Amino acid sequence: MKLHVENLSKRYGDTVVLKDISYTFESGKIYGLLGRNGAGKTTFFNCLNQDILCNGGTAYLDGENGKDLLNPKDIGYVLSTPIVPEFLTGREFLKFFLDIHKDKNNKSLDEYFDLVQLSSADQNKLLRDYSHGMKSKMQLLIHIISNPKVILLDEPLTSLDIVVQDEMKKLLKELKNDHIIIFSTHILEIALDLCDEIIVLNNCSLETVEKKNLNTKKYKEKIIKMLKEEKSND
Amino acid sequence: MIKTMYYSLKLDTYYAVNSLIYTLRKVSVFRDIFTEKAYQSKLLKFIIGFFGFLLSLFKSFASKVFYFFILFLISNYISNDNMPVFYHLFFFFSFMGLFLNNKLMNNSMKKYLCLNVFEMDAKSYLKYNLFWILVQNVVFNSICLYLLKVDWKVIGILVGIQFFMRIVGEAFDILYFRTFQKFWYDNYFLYFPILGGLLVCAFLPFKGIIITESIINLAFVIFFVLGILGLIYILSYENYQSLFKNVRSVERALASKDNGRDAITDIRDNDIVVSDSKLSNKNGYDYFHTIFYERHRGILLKNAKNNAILLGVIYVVLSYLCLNDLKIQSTVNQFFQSSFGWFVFLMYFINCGGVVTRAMFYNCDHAMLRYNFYRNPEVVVGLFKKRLKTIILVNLLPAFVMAFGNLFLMFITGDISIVPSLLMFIFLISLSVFFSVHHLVMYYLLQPYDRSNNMRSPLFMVVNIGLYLICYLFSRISVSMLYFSIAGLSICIIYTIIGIQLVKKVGPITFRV
Repeated sequence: MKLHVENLSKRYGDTVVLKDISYTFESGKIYGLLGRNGAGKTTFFNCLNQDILCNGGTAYLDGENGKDLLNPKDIGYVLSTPIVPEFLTGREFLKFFLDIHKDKNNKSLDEYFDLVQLSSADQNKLLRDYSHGMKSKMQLLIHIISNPKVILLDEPLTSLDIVVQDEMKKLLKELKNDHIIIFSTHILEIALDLCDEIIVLNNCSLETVEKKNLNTKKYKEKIIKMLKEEKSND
Repeated sequence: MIKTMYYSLKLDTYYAVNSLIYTLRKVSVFRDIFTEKAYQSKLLKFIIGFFGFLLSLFKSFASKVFYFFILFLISNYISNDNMPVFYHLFFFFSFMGLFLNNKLMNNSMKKYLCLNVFEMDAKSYLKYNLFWILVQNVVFNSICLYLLKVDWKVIGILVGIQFFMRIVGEAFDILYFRTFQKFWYDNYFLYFPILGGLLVCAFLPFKGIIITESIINLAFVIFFVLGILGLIYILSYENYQSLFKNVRSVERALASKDNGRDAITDIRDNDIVVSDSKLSNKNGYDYFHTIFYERHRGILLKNAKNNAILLGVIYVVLSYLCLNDLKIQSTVNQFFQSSFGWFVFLMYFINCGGVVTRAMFYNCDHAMLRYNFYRNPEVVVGLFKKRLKTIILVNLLPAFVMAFGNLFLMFITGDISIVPSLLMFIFLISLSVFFSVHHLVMYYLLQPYDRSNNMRSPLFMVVNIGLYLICYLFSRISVSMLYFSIAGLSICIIYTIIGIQLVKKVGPITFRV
């Protein structure tokens, strides 16, 4: 399965954020989308998820059934600040979600909670009382259950403790074979540790950072150099 | 203090101007005129800021004029020799204001920014605010009393009383908080007896009891002394920085009313537990909606219950007066015959659709609309129908009190015939349904809120102002109840049908964050 993005453009007034972006993403890989703060990573995701209108371009999925325009239904969008309905308990939220996605799940409520390691006491707390990490887990969990073809992750690990980070990384690695996963971050170490391919949002365009025969240190230097070029072009 | 005042006013100006530019830029016509560079324009900031400042002064003055007008109306109603009654009312309402209108200890996002982010000196900030409150009070009160042709000596006494009462009130607030580490109004054993007692005293003129000029003069002396002591107390305390820290955490500032997220969106602890029996047969969106309703029962029903109780009390009092006074009986009867449009205006105010949609947005939709499955057209329309039932049912409570109250009043004022009464009853119920539909339809079509719960849709504001004006105009129309009910009923039915169809067609596109 492939996700083709063709000539995607977005500008706010006179400011161009994305300029004729064309790129092909494949399942089986986790793509690390790197860019400096304000480079347009979230805008790129919002365009794909059709949260905002683009000024041009298309995105389509090329799968077993041929080519189809990318539909928001095909996307699971995990936000950096997890937003969950705070009036529900974790257990109620998951039960509701399983009810409306009966066709997509084959596990029990408890099995899903085991997956993200949430204790039964925490399951019965209101989501408003969850910590940031617990909310992130819940958010990722429901995207795992809804099983979208494309998963967009907007800096989801940035403010999590290292144990939760590690659990989330394992989950994502398990998911990658059947999904197209694009993971945005501005933390290089997380990208290098988790992702199979690094792309940089550079001068309003996407560019792959080829690893070839470079060792990790040289690879890091190359990425930073590309990011600095973006700065000098600003 | 001057420096603090300068920066505080500057902050107000920048906030007002930037909010205005931001709002205008949401409207496509203005987007090209007000580009992002508009935020940089010092001239624009000065001009809009200056007029904004004048407007805020005008708003404060207008509310003062309105307040005096109401007091004057009541005093005129009670007695032909109205001025002594007016002074009586002014005194006791100012006394109540001593407890209710205190501002120095209030939480606001602006206060938080000034003290915690910009690190202004807390005492200077407090002094500037006190100074500003007192100046406005003196000037506006003097002008209003002068317009009522009150003698200068009396103006001096009354303005002086309120001036010192304000200081006493602010000092009392600070003293109470410093002593008990909580606000005095959180103590219901103090709150209700004090305010209830003063309210009873305020309306003693109905029983022919009015405080004399010498009592008012004596009160002036007492409040003069207390005011000076209060001022010394306020100004001698130095540690406002830490006092405000106790009062004002980030959460309180965020939850403060001027930031939009007020108590209406908080879930009450009593509502957290939802009994299993209410959920046992529910699945999917039914389950979701039931939990939402149960957990927000307090928020959703509080306004409706309060309005129903208030209306109930008014109808009981009116019924009592009608049964004992033929003059009032005839006035009420005449009101039903010729000024029935007031009920449209009244129904507009008691409908709590706005409160419900805000709770829906802040506590539920702003999160759920981030998930693509929730934006599915069938889901949007399905949930809209469930919510419509809920919001209609909630608002029917005060509507039924009003409809039955009117029926009873019509019955005791001696002019009741079946068809007009029945039509009136059906019309009022339909009117309640109409406002419920309106609030929910506008919520789905214009989705007016953002995360901080501030309105973000200028169109929504325009529609609301328009609706307010239309309702107000209805109150000025003098038409017989029969024709009014027939016309009103027809409009309600047509609007409801069109509104629901519109949401079905356009809602899935417009209902987004």
